[in-house]
Amino acid sequence: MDAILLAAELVFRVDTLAAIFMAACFGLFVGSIPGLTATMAVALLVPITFFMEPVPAIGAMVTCVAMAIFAGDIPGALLRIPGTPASAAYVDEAFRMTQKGEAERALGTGLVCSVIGGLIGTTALVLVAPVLAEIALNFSSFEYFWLACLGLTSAVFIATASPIRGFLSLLIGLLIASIGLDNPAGTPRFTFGYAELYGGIDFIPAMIGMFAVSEILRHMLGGVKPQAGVAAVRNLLSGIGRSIARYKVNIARGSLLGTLIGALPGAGADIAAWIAYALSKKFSREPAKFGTGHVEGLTDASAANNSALGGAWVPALVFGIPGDSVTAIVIGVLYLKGMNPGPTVFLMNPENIYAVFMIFFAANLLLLPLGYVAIKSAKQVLRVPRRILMPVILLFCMVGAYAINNTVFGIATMLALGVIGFIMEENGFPIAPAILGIVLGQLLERTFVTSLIRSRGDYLAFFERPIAAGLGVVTIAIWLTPVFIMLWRRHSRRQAPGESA
Amino acid sequence: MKSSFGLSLAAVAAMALAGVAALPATADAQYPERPITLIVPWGAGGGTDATGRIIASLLEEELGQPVNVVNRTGGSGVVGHQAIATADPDGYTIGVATVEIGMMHWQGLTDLTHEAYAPIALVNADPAAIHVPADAEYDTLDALLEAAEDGQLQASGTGQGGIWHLALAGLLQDVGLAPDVIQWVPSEGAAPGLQDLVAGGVDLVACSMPEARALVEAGRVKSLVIMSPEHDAIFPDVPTTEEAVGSTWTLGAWRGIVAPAGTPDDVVATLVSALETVHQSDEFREFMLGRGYGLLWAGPDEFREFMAKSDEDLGSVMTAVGLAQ
Amino acid sequence: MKINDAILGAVLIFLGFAVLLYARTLPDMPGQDIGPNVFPTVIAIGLIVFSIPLVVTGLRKWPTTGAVQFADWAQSGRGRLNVLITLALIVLYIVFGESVGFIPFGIVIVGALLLLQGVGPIPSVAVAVVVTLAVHYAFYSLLRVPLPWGLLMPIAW
Repeated sequence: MDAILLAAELVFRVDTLAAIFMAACFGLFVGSIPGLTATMAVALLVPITFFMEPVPAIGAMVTCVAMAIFAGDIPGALLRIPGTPASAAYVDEAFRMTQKGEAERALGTGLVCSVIGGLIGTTALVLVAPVLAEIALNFSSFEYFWLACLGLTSAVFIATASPIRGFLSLLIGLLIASIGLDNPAGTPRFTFGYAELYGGIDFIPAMIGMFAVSEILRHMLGGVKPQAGVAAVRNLLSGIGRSIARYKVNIARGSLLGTLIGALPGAGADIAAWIAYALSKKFSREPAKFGTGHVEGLTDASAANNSALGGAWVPALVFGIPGDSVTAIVIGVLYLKGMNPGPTVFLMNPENIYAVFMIFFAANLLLLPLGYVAIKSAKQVLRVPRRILMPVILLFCMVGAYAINNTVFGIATMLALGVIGFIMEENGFPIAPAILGIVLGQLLERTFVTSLIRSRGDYLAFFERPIAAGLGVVTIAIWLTPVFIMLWRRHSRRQAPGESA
Repeated sequence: MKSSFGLSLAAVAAMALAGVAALPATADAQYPERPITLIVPWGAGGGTDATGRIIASLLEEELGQPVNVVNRTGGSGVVGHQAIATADPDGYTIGVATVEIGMMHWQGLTDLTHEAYAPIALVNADPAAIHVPADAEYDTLDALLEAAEDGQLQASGTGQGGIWHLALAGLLQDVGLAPDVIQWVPSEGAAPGLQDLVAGGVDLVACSMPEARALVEAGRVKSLVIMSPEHDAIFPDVPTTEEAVGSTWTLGAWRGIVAPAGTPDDVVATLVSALETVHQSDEFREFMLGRGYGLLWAGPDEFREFMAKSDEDLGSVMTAVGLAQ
Repeated sequence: MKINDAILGAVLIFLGFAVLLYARTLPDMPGQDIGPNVFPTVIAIGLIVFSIPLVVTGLRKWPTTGAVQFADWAQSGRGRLNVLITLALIVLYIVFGESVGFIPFGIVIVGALLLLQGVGPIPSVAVAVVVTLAVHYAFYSLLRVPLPWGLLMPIAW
């Protein structure tokens, strides 16, 4: 109890609160610009935190990331340029709502779901971190292999209308992911002696190209879509309350899924958002509305990617194992500030860790008003005529693609994938599976190869561990379902005339 | 319509260029007169990134110009190292070179060697160590090596042919075993390898002490040997290779600051003296010791010799264990 | 721009075979059974197999659709020229961006695209200059992205 009071004293101080507030604004700004990632935002904060007290330093990072993850939804909904791969899962859903004049409702729902998801993820972190971490530690390459398969399957089979085109799109993504040196063998592939290609194709320029540049090209070609009405929904929060109440099961489901998958060091918010979106559609009473600008499609996935954030801290705090590059940076700062990760972090100086937890809650609550202001001001973008907006977006895209590695190679990637994405979309190939293929390709190959090395070539090993077996059976069942349905239909069609005769 | 577009486009271009031409050319002032870029060939969040960023922020105070950290990742460090080597040798682009510069050309990935750089200073070195689960049946390296003889053990900690893979293979060869008697399971880095170790996926992990520290302190992992002539500052109980098996085998990762070859001597001298101040500062020492990173200092000439020797050693080990092309 | 499925399928099948051939040139991984060729090979086989139905449906539709169909809104030659100029500007930036510099080139790109869409010359130039300088300030000064100065190097701030 004393520790909690001490912690409160550490948090409710002018310098801590000022640091949190500034980090929040910074996070919103960085997150809402395509090409700038939460990782980059945190990396920029690192030198500043050297000169700060432990609690404001960690607090600034926590807040910055929470804001950046939500802010990734804003350009996604307004301009169909997802800020993060995690928000790519539902970018089409949100953008369709904007086209229907419901931009505020889409973003407002995303905001409230993000806040609730964030709070649930944080609660899990505070209450059951050690238990969750134990579960996460049991995941080896076999389990991650099936998890990657499950994520990719979600994108292909559930989220698209034409499975064959979806699957081809996925294969194109996986092929792009296999470029470079970062494969288990460390052999250069598809590099043709060009050093820049050794690093492979980064998914940020790829995403900017496939979503944003293809949109710009379509606009330049003359495909001007009717300008969306801006003020169709007057009050941002009216109607959202009803949506939240109606889809409370979705939000709870998304949050729990996000926390669990987020806690796995090899997985994270991307896979969580995709699986959550697929589950949402699977269990929805109106699955046909998905993909047409249906608010239910936003609830699960928005909650999932923010709750994954709390989840990612679990293995980081308990065992010092980073779940993603953001927690990797934070672990470094924790050491620097003498809050060494490990079970001891809860015993030595507990007031510091309680203060961090409080900041987690505070950051998620602060997201509500600041996110509201951000949506209100970002929405003004829709008032700008598209012929002025599009060139400006192109400039942002080029800078964003450049900034990821500070080389024009990023812009070249963006351009190439923009053209590919344009052709794909014009011909009914969904883009999302290709993006997910680029994001998860390396994980898929690595876990497959290391699993086989480990089992010395025995494929049955993929089903020998209980969790792996469970995930594997579910994945294969999803693969086989369309085949069974097809056979069943053919069977009953053949029987029907026989019965009538 | 078309011609008016062409005219206006020309006008825009002309305006942009006129703005440039009107500017007076400034004379060469004292280096540095504008921001410096520090290229880190590894991703944000890793140890090299952290070291690069603390050096950058302290160097910034020392030089009075912003020092921007730029991560040029991918390709097992090839991309970033290449970027440092091919930058303009004007002192405005420097970078962190790591042990891999002495490895990748032996693997046939690039022609790039340490000779492409003007060394500034070596700042850190972390020896390899071997870690096993806390409940493993072997408590010493001897017992582990005995168990390894029938070829059933698997190890992880970095990618195929990475520095820790090499450290293990070299050690095995030095004690008279086949370098591949312990099968290497490639991982994306030390953290996923350690997680696999705890999940029961592999039998041992080779990586540095700071990388394994949290799990050692959590009582999940024990360290059997540190491949260095000296004990670790935080874990002095871990025996050296000499003490454990009487072998002189040592290997570790190192990090140093380099500039592209051809950088003027006076610029290098400015950087060396600034870096020396940084290296001796309390902030830097506190940071490195806080994370458990080994501190080391070698000026330009010594660093050049160090890199040449490292290159030669790595080459002979890689050839011996079959990892060189 | 709807390309007949048979053409797309054929391109993907060709890509699949190219990848198959390329994968055969990849070396084995020393000391391991499964090499770097396995993953691309599996992808290539998938590309070939799943493109076959695409070719079949495409050939069936060919008599009615022809090789390439443009949507109503994409009929104008002007639009196609605009797309080509946009792509060309990005390519030019990739090649000359570092030497010309972000600010001059950014002004040219934004200005050109605005003019292409029929925005008047004065507003185009004004918007291009303001936007480029604002982006430069946000990314270079605030976020420390090392955008190239190029020609403006002598007055870099």
